Amino acid sequence: MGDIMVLDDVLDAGIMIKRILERKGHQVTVFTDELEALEHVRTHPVEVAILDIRLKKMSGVDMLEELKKASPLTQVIMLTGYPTLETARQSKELGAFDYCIKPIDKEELEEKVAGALAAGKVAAQ
Amino acid sequence: MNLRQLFTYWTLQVFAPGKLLRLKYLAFKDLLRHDKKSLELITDLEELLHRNATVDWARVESLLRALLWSVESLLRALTALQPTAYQDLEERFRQLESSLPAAVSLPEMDCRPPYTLTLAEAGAAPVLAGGKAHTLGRILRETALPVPPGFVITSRAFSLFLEHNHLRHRLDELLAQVQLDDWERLIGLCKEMRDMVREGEIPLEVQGEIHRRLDDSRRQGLTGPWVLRSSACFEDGEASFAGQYRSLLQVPDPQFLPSYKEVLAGKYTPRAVAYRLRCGLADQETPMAVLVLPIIDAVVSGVVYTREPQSPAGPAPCLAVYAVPGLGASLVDGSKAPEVHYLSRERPPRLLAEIAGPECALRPGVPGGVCLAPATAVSLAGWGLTLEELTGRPQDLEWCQDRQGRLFLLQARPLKPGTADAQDLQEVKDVPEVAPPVLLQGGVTASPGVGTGTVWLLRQEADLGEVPEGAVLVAPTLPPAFAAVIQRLRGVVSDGGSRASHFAAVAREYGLPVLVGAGDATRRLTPGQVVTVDAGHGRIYQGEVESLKQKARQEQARPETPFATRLKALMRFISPLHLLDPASPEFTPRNCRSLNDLVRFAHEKGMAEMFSLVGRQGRGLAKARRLETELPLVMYVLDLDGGLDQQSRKARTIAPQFITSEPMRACWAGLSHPDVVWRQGLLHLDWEELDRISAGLMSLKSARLASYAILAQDYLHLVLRFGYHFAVLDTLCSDNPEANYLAFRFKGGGGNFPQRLRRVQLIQMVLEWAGFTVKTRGDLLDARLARQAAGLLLPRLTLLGILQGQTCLLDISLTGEEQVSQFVRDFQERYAGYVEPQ
Repeated sequence: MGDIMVLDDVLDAGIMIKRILERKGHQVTVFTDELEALEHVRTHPVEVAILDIRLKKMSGVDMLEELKKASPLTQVIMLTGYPTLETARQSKELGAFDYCIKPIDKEELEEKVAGALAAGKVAAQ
Repeated sequence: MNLRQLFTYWTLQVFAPGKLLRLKYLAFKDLLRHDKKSLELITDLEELLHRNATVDWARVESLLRALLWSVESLLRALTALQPTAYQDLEERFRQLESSLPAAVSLPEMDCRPPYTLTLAEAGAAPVLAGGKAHTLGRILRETALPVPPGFVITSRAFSLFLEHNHLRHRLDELLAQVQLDDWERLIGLCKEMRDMVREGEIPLEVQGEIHRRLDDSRRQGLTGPWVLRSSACFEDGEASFAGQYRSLLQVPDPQFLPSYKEVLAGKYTPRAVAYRLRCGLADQETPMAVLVLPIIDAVVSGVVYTREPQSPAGPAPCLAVYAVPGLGASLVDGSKAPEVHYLSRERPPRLLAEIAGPECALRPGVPGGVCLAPATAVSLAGWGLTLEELTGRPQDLEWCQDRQGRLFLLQARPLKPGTADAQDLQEVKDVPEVAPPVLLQGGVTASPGVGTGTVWLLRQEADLGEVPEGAVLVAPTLPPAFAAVIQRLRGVVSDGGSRASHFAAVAREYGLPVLVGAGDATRRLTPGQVVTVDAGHGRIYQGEVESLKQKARQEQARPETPFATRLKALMRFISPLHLLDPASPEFTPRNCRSLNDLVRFAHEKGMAEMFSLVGRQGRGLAKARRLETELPLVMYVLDLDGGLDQQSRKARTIAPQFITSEPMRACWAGLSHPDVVWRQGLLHLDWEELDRISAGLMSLKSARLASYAILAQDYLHLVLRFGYHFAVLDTLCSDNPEANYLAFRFKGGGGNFPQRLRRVQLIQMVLEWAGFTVKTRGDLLDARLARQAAGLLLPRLTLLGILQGQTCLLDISLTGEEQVSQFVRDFQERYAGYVEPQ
């Protein structure tokens, strides 16, 4: 199944996502720190990354840009509790797979991740 | 839409209507998705209000942000569908959005100085100093009572701390998850919140102020260690927060800053969060100030209650002075039983009676006795009367006496009423004549009231999470931690403990019956046994006592919380539906007065756009036409791509055999199944709509009130309007199982609410049996089955058709649970072939 990374400045939020996705057989690594997450991606290009928009040190949009530089084929799902047209537009421009809103329900999350994994496989071909 | 997009749109319309149709179809799919999400979020918010849910305001704000985004996305999808027609819609949305903050506004986090105050200054600054420090400051300013010298770190220092460490949104995200019935999770969430606070950095401005105050104190000869006490806004006000926050005793100077953070972190213990939620207060409404006092080497300490309904000497109201050896903590945390002195309410107070404690209050370890000097008790009672005069309310005050014999007043707060008065006592004395056996008699009323529940024996605090709903908690003592599960409790009985404990104060506020000092209750009451606790009269009866319970119910009515008031104000902008008649000239964006109106408007117009795809010049590929049928249904169908046979292209109406859409064929097979007996003579359309707008005058075949289906070869969007309810079915049955889904939504009905709920329950039972995931909220049902082969979905569409036909008028005739399960059993037996492979 998929190799997935979650970055959220709130640990509990990341763990909830991990629990849901692990039940679907995915392998999920959770980070609360941007730099550690970037380091992980550089050595370990995950298939899907789920990013919060409000992080501790940088914005989720900047993180998206850095992450795409480090691993262009990683499909990124932005997941935010503070949606704005501006961040939605920037995310799209920077190649995010989708822009989702918290609270997200289990089914929607599973669907988005399945979609992102499929898109990643197509992109790799 | 910018000019370029508009140009593209027109070009497409002129040159490539087929491509435009596909684009519209995509926009329409988007619109349906956002419509669904918006309605779900509105329902979530409505449910918080109607269920009286105890959640943090952060949850409401999070749902609201998601809703605003969904509605905005929905409007954008409508604009994509028809770029020119709805330009004032966005403006209306902006207007509604900007009128929201007034309805939901919480106090702004004020981060400006001052960050510290002297205690005397605190007496004039309730918001900055928080309840506890403000009261003490006021006593210092306005009376001659001996208050220890101290200072206050203000609530603004706390706000600055949160701001400085960017904690607000992170705390909110966690608070939004809090559910009081999930104890394990609450513990986890609270731990993360406290860790966030502990890891935070105290802003330099605040550090500087604290050091300055400590230096000032040193110059006055006051050195540590210190006592740091929480002093939250609202604390000791209407909501007492008694014992819910942390106080730290014995803090030496080097530990001062980490201890300050520790007290702030105490705002996020499970019990403090649970308590705040039950009071309906938002986190921002209760910023935490911290009261700093020099430690007093107390030999004896205790509390004074200025209004006791009776003493052992008789039923006259009096004052009570409670005393325990050492620090008062063991009294208020319920772990130690005190000696008690009852005094009259005159000047000077007169000693009426005394009750010995298990241990001498002045000589720890020496058993029994009444040790507090009568002069001390009289003096303390006099303080109580002075404070009553100052505040105009009965008081609950904490005091202590040091080695030099000096008395200090440490804290004062209003004493919650709730102590049964003597007359009340008389009245219920009669009850035992008709009541079942009294299992236990005696003890002290810590919080009056009557509750019936199942005995749950708690040996240690750590097991608190396991206490079930509806328990009468029986325990050796009365720790403040009980407050965390107060909602599940019907009563509390403790062997020891005291009515002067913090939990007793919280229980009185909450109206939970609590009986303390009941001796051997933990041995006399059997776990699992149903008992009725009449705490006001110190009796525990076997089983339910109906006459007492009635009395309990009368007392249950509680005032509306700030949370409920705010949520109601918010819902006025969200929930009410004013736009009802799509044909009315009033059906315009300007008349949208709630988000629900906007959603309704956009959905209706989105549907209309799809149905008018043909355009005024007759250009386009698709055209909605009526389905020919013997069934009493008015249904229009619109083909997007391969849903109807080519032969029917020219026909004005469509015969069912021309349907080539697989999902529509399957569903129609169900609706027209021979088992479904349609009541002839009743056209199945939207009666509510008909009642309201037509008074029966309009054509019964009007498209507006009809059911309709949007088709493609592998796709179906079906809106069924039956009688007073509607059902929406959206499904894709393609060759790719991963993309397939079947979503079904059902709402409303003509029966009364319980009948409607029974029908929803019935549909839920059948659909769950058929493998759907079903969620219900009130009379709204959502069922979903995704990522399945078409071969599995199609028979279930037929099943849904049959179910719809059979349950169409059922809500009016459903009278009981038994009928529901009978129907479900019969249905399962008869149609098993559609669910199980044959």
